[in-house]
Parts: sequence; C-alpha cells; structure tokens
Amino acid sequence: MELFLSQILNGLAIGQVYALIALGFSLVFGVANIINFAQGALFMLGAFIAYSAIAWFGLPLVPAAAVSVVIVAILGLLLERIALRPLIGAPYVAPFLSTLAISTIIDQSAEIVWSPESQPFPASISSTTFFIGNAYITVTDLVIFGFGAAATVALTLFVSFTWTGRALRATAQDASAAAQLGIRTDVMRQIAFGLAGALGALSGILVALYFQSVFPQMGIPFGLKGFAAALLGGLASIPGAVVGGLLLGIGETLASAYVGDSYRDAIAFTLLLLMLLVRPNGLLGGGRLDALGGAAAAAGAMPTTSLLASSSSQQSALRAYYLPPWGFLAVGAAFTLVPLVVSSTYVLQALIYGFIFALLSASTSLVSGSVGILSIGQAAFFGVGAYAVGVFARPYGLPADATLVIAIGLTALVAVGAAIPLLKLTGHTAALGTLAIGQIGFLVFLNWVSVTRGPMGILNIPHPVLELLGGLRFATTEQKYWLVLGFVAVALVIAERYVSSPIGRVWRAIREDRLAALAAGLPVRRYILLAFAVSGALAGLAGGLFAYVQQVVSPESFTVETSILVLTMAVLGGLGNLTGAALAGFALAILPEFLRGFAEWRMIVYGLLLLVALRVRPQGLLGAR
Amino acid sequence: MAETDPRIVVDGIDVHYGAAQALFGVSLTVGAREVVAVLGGNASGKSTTIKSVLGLVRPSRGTITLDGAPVNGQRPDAIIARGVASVPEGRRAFPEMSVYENLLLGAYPRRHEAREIAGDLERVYEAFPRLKERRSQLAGTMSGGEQQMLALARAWLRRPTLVCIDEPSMGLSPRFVDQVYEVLQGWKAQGITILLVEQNARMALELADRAYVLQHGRVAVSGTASDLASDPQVRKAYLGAA
Amino acid sequence: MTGEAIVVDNVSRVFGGLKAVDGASLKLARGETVAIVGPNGAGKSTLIQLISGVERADSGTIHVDEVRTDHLPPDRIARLGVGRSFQTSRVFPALTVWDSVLVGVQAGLIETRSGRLIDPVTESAGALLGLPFWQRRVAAQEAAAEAALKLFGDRLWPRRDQPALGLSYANRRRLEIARLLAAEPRYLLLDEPSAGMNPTETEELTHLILDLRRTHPDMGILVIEHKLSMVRRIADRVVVLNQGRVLIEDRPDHALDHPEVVEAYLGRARSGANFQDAHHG
Repeated sequence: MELFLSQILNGLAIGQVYALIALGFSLVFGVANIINFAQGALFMLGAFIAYSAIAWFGLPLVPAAAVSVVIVAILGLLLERIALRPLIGAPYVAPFLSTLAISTIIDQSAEIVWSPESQPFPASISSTTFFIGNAYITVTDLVIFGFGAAATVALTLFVSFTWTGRALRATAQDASAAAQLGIRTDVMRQIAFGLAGALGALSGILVALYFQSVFPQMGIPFGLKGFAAALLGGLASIPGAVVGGLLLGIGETLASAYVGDSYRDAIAFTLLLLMLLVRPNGLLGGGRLDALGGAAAAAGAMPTTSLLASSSSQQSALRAYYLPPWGFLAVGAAFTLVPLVVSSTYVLQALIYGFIFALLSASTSLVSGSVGILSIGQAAFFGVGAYAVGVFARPYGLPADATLVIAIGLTALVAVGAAIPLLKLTGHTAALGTLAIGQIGFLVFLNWVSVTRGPMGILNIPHPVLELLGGLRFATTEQKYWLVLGFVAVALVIAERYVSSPIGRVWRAIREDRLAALAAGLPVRRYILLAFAVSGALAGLAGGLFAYVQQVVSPESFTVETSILVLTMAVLGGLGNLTGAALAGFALAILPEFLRGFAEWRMIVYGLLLLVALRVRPQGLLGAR
Repeated sequence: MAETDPRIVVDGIDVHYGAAQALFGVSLTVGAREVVAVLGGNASGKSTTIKSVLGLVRPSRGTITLDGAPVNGQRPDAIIARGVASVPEGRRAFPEMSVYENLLLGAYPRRHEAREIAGDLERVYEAFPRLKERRSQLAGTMSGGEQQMLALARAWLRRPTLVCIDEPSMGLSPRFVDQVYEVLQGWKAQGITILLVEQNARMALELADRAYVLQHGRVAVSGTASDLASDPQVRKAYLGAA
Repeated sequence: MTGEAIVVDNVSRVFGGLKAVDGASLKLARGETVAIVGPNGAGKSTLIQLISGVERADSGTIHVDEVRTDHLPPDRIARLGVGRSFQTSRVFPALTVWDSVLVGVQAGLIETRSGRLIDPVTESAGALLGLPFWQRRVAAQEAAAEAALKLFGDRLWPRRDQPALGLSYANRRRLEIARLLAAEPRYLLLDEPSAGMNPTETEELTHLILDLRRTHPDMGILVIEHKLSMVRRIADRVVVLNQGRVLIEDRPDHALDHPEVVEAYLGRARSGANFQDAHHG
C-alpha cells in the first residue's frame, strides 16, 4: 500500500511533465488543426540547451532553464514559419510530413552536436525524501510537480483572462467566426507555436531533472507520450491534456513498479492504442477528432479525406509513371546479370540492401499511399519478419522456404492486429498510431529477452537453404544476391498486381473519401485490414531476407529511424506508386554505402530532401498514384 | 438616401468555389444609415455576397469598396477593424466558452477601452436579461434562439457603425424571429447601417429600406422594400412558380 | 407489413441542443419519386444522412424493404440497395472518372447472390490470378459502369480517363449520380442534385430524372431540391419539411401552393398588412 501511494505521488510528478508536452500538442492542434510531430524535438532541444548552458557556460539551473525556454519558443515560431506556413493549401499530408522532416533533422543534429550518447544532467535538486505516512516522495518530485503545475496554472490563467488568450481559444473553437470578430488568426497560429515551444522546453528540462540524464533520442518517445496524454484528454482540450498527462504518468509508474521498469514505455504506448480503439475522442473530448484528416478539406469546395489531393491540386500533379507488374520481373532479370560482371562483394552487398529496402519502401507506400494511412511504424513489421527467421532458422533448423513463409504469415497477422486500433482514424492521428506500433515493436524486440535475446540479438543465423529446390544452399554473396533479387522481384509483382487490381482501386477510393466509399456499400474496414496484411507480408519478407543477409538480428535495426527512413523513401518515390517507392528505396539505401564517412549526416540529408520535396514536388519523383 | 456617400459599393463581382461559379457580376450599394436586404432562395448566392463584403471569400472579378476605399482581397480582421461587425450565418457562438466570454470577444477590436466595455456589457445584460442569467454558462449548451441573441449582442459590443448579418432567422421559431427583428429595428433606430441577408423575405422587407433579390447568383430584382413586397418576381425567386 | 419501401417512422436527431429532425415520418415506395423541400435548416439533409446510416437517429425507426436499418452501418444499408449522393458532391478526386464508377460497382463485385461477401482470400486470388469466375463478374460490372456513364451522353464518357478533380462542378454531380446508378440501386437518394448547376444544366438533370423514371420503373427516388420548378415536374409527391417536422405531404401543386408552405419559404409578416401574396396581387 505504501509502495502504491508512493508510486501515485511519483506518477503525478512525471504526469505533470507529460501534461506540459500534451498542452503543446493541444494548443497547436486547436489553433492550426495539425499534429506537430516536432513537439518531441522541441522538448529534447529544451533539455539539451539547458544542459549546455549549465555544462558549457556555467549558468545556474534557473537562468539556464529560462534561456532554454526563450530559445525554444523562438524555434517554435520559426518552425511555423519555415515548415508550415509555405504549405497552407497544400495536400493534407504535407504539413505533418514537414514537421516529421524537421524533427528528424533536429534529432540528428543533436546527435552530432551533443553525441548520440546519454549524458548526465549537470544540475539536480536535493534528493531529500519526505514521508507522508509511510508513502515517500522526493524533493525532486515535488519541485517537478510544483513547476509543472505552476506552468499549467499560468497557461490556464493566460488563456482564460487575457485578450490574447481568449482570442487563442476562440480561434481554436471556430477560426472563421474568430476572424469575423477581428481576430488575426494567423498571428494566433504563431503564438500557439511559440507557446508550444516554451512548454516543450520546460517539460524537457523537468524530464532531465527527473531522470537525471539527457539523450538526443528522447524526443520521440516523450513526444509520443505527450501525444498520448493529449489524446487521452481529447486533443483540443486544455484541462483534458492535464488530466490525460496525470493519468498517463500514474498509469505508467504503477506499471513499471508492478510489471517491470523495462515495460514502462511499452505500457504507455499500449494504453495509447487501447484509447484509439475504445475512445478515439478521448475521455473528455468532443467529436473533433472524427473529422481529423479531412476536417479542413471536407469543408471546402471538394470534400475529400485524401492525403494527396487538395483544393489547389492541379490535374498535372496526378500524373504518375509506373511499371506494369511484369516490369518488375524484367528489371529483376536485368539485375541477375550484375554478379557476372561485378565481382566486388562490397558492391553486391550494397545492391542486396538496395533490393530489401526497395521492397520495404514499397510495403510502406502501399499502406501510406494507396490506403492513405501514413505508416511511421513499418520497422516493427520489418523486425517481426527478421526475428521470425532468427528464431526459427537455427534452433528448429527449418529451411528458408519454411522460415520465410512463417515470417510472411506472422508479420501479416501482426500487421492486421496492429491495424485494428487504427480503423476509425484518418490523417495525422492514424500516423501517430502507427508510430506507437513501431515503438511497441522495438520495445518488445529489446525487452522480450527469452525470445529475442534482447539487446544482444540473435547471432549466427545459418545460410538459407531452399528445400523446395532440392536443398539448394545460398552461402556466397552472389548466391544470396540472386535469392534476395528473386524474392523481391516476385513480391513486387504481387504487390503491383494488388495495387492495379480492383482491390487497389478500392484502397485508393478509401483514401480519397472514406465516407463516399462506405456509402458505395464497400466494407471499408475489411479492405484496410487486407492492405495491412499485404503490407505486413511484404515487410515481413523483407525482414526475413534481411536476417539471412545480415546473419544477425538485433533491435537497433528496427528503430523509429528506420521507419521514418522508409516512409521518406515512399514519399520521395510518390505515395502509392510502388515503382517510385522501390526506386527511391533502392537509391536511398545504396547511396550512403558509397558515401561512407558521412553516415551521421545521412538522416539530416534525408530530412532536408523530404522538406524540399514537399515544397517543390509533393507528389514525389514518379508521381503519387 | 443618396445625399451622403455610400458605405458599401459592390461592383460587378464574380465569385468561384473551385470550378463552380456562385456569383455572376453582382452589384449593390448600401448607403449610410440605410438597411439593405439581400433576399433569395437557397443557394441563390446571397450568403456568398455578404461573405465577399467581409473578406471571407475573394471575388475573381469586380471591386468592393468600403467608405470609398477598396477592400478587395483584404483579410476579415482588416475589414472588421474599420468599424464593421458581423453576425455570421448559423450564429457561430464559441461553444466551449461562457456567454460572458463570447460577449467580451465581440469587443476584441476595441479591447483597450476597458471601462466603456464594462458599461456596454451592463447595457447588453439589461437588454437581454436571459444572457445575464446565463452569463457563466457555456454557449454551446444554449438553444438556437438564445445563441442568436448572443451573436447579436456580441456584434453590438463591437459598437459598429455597420453590421453584416447573415440569415438571422434561420432555423428559429417564430417567437425568436420576432425578437431578432425587434433588436434589428432598435439598431436601425440607433442609426446603424445594416446589410442583411435573409431567406425570410417578409420580415426582412418590413425592416429594410431597400432590397436586392438574387437568383442563380445574379441580381434578379432590386428596389425599395415596399415595391418588392408586392412584386411577383420575389415569389418566383422563392417558389419557382412558372 | 410495410412492403417494398423505405419507411421512416417518427425519427428525431438533435445536434448540440438544436433539433435537426423532430419526429419526422416518411415513406418512399419503389417506383415513386418523392421530393423533400423546405427552407435552409429544415432538416432535409439530415434526413438523408439518417436513412443512409451516416448519422444515427436519436429515436424512431427506419426500415428498408422491411429490414430495420437505423442501427446498421452505412455500407450495409448501401448494399440493401440504397444509393445516396451528398450535398457537396463526393467524388474520389484523384481517381479517374472510369475508376470512380467502377468503385461504385465494386460492392456488387464481391457480393454473392445470397447477400454474403466473398472472403478477402478468394477475392485476392480472383483479382491477382484473373480466375474465370472473377473475370465474368468484372465484365458484368464494367458493362454496368459503361452504361451508367453513357446515360449522361457525351458529358462523362469521353472524359473517362480524366481525374475527377479536373471535372466541372456539374460534371462532378453527374459523376456521383452515375456512380450510384451503376450499382443499380433500388432506391436513389439525391441531396440537392441541381445545386451549382445553371438553368440549362438543371433542365438536363430534370430530363435525366424523368428518363430514369421511365427506364427504371421499380426504383424509388427521393430528391431534396430547391428548384421548385423542377420539383413540380419530377415528383409524384412532395414532403415539406420545416424545423425538422413534416409540414405537409401532398401532390406537388397542392403542396407547393399551400399557404403554410408559402409562409415557410417567404417567412411570416408580423403585421401581415404590408405584404401581399403575389398570386392575389
């Protein structure tokens, strides 16, 4: 009981921090109607700028925190200016991907500036412990709770009792009516972003104090938890965000105390998915989310839930170039000749990864483009396939035909299960749901030690043997090259057949206008689940092949970075265009192999590519389909 | 009426929504202290006309001038800043804000006049005792008629010299329609210029000095209110009678 | 026994304190054309939203051919043969005209005669391998799609490879109706089909509906329409809605000239003295 009470007190402290991150999401969502993926990056920057101010310039904690809050608030304004304002009227997918690109760039820059390692936070608050009865609470907890609560109260007072605050809320509730009262809604949008930056920075500093460490990868998990908290509270509601944050904090603290600390995050994200399944509008929310992913567009002259089309779309933006299904076989056949002229295993190895990523990118394009549910969790499906091979290949001694079938089937099942919470969602919310799936996958790979061997990974995966081909063994790089090429080419043919069939047409119709698809009598859920099954099967095959090529499977191959990378490939190729996705996946996977020494700049370059593409060619290289 | 310069001049505007054209060369004027009604059946383009004046939609052709200065392409807040208030279609009260806050936001353009606003709020509460009773209640929980009163009071707190009103009687029971028009008669008596869009032609023509009847995005008839009240064209525009 | 008809019985729907539909009842039998008219905010569109399952009724019942539908999802209701258009027409902007109409017949493609749906594995196999049973179904559906597009003369058929995005407003409305007709519905619910159309286009639409009445004598048509001159020509019956309630249900000429209807449209004069009804004057 004492432990229980102590955990509740502890949970209130961290929950207060989640509430602050959630408030950042809520403000921006309310006023600008987008989900700011970069909220986590702002949070991380807040912690690191305070860290630097203390560690490098010797500032005391409070002024260091103040400096950080001001700088990040300005960065929030810049974010609105650079990443979002130019995209007003652009396809609905653009602003979200734009904040995702910015977030990638910031995260990776932080790794360069501050090193990817975790650093101890150079300031702390007394670790004195108080007892309330038999329950205990530390001073740090009290200070964090106090600061978080004070910031929440200050924000509440600001939005309740100042003219700007009221105008902000009015804009969030009805922007058009607010404009008719003389409120400058564009300025309100900027203020919301600035406030979100300040709240992000403050919460970052409090988290650094709570866990006594900072690391550049902290943005995404905490950003996602803040989003979970915001969603729990209904996304656009300020008291909702606070309640959501506190509930999430208590929930995960209890879970980590009673189930195990390594499950802390997994439980938080599972809660998020459960919420999406049961009450997608949040505990206190209204009907606002129902319209997400189409609210703005549906009010326009042409209603659509499309990620690709917008009221300003031109017909020419819809021209797509793609191969017929057999074209993938033809290209594959041409590639079979390469090992006959190139003997460098290094080059062949690079090409093998190119093929695998071509398939993975196509699998992402299928759900993200054809069905319109942006997948930021594809690495989890990739990982399930890889671990399926890792687990079944050695101890059970199964041949590659069997393990790959298991990889394909298992991943398809996992993908269908994962898609169920997403069925009611569209647009940005669905995308964050897939991010949660990706994070849960990674955490399971990392922590389910009895099966995955945890961070160590599964080593010494045997060379693949195809029993159906009379026990043919693929041991050399050339042999593996042909094996991978063969599977990838056939898989892409099947995928393209799907996309070109009436089923693919229905997928695109669901993307374009889900309501109209329902009104046409189509069982929409069933088609979405089918898309996830196909996408999962393709990603699972890619993962299985990856395991055989690497001969090692370990969690770091399946991080959110991989998911963002393949989504970037799919967008650059042209969403829904499998030829484009395969081409971009292939090119972006082999490119860095030939640009060694710039490895740490890779994600920054991809982020910039994505940002530029959204401005100049949002339909991607070969055109979205 | 024409002795003074007109407040609003709409001159030959076309408005498109995507590929669809909603207005075809619509022209109208509103003189100082005049009440002008724009009438028409559903989808006749009357709402689009008032939205153009408020800067909510942008005409592809033609000009709009407010007190002699062109306002084409200006944002709504810039137009409101020139002494204009809007009572939007469907009332558009902020549902999650209290009645008091909704009222206060009406005075947003003159937010630095704290004392005057407090006085004006008292006058509103006197005129609408119902709003006073419910001042701390969320606006979204009120009935349609009460929300319409709120929208009118909110616009009045702007202390405008010109009000644009879009279908104030829509979806209201006759009792509330009467109340709305009593308020508008009062504004007329105070000398506020009114541009009114209405489907309820009879009520609007009782209030207005002049009126324009729109049909298929064009001005079909215009004239003084008393002339139009007996014009068979009005009836045709509404009922499609041959 | 209600017979083959859509029967709406005492249905209500409240939106945030506003009664959009307030105890409305209505019957649409196969083979008849009923028009719903009424001023803005009368609850006409909400009624179609309720019948098609896009919105849920707070109370009351709806039956389609004696199947109770007020708790069914919109796709199930559509597969019972209820095709509906939307007030702002909903086309699939990035899909070509041809693909859009094929989406309209897809439900028929995967539905067996007993009303069950073909399972996704069989559907995948059929679609990927081009199995004969599948090809036969596809051919039949494509023929229906072609016939539906050709109903509109040279408005849509020559543009079949264009994305819906680039169509004119009137053509988008036509495409939506073509998509509905391709599925050969038993009931066709049209929400302001002539909105945004000029007089010539409206005339064309009027003829189309008159033609449909001839070519599809078993189809029930429900039209929300503001252009009352059109209503007079196409409808067997007119239902006048005001403030969510059915005011009058009668033959078009009776209904539309009824004093209460005139009042619903033109409004009431407080004194009544300074406004003379035009047909008296």
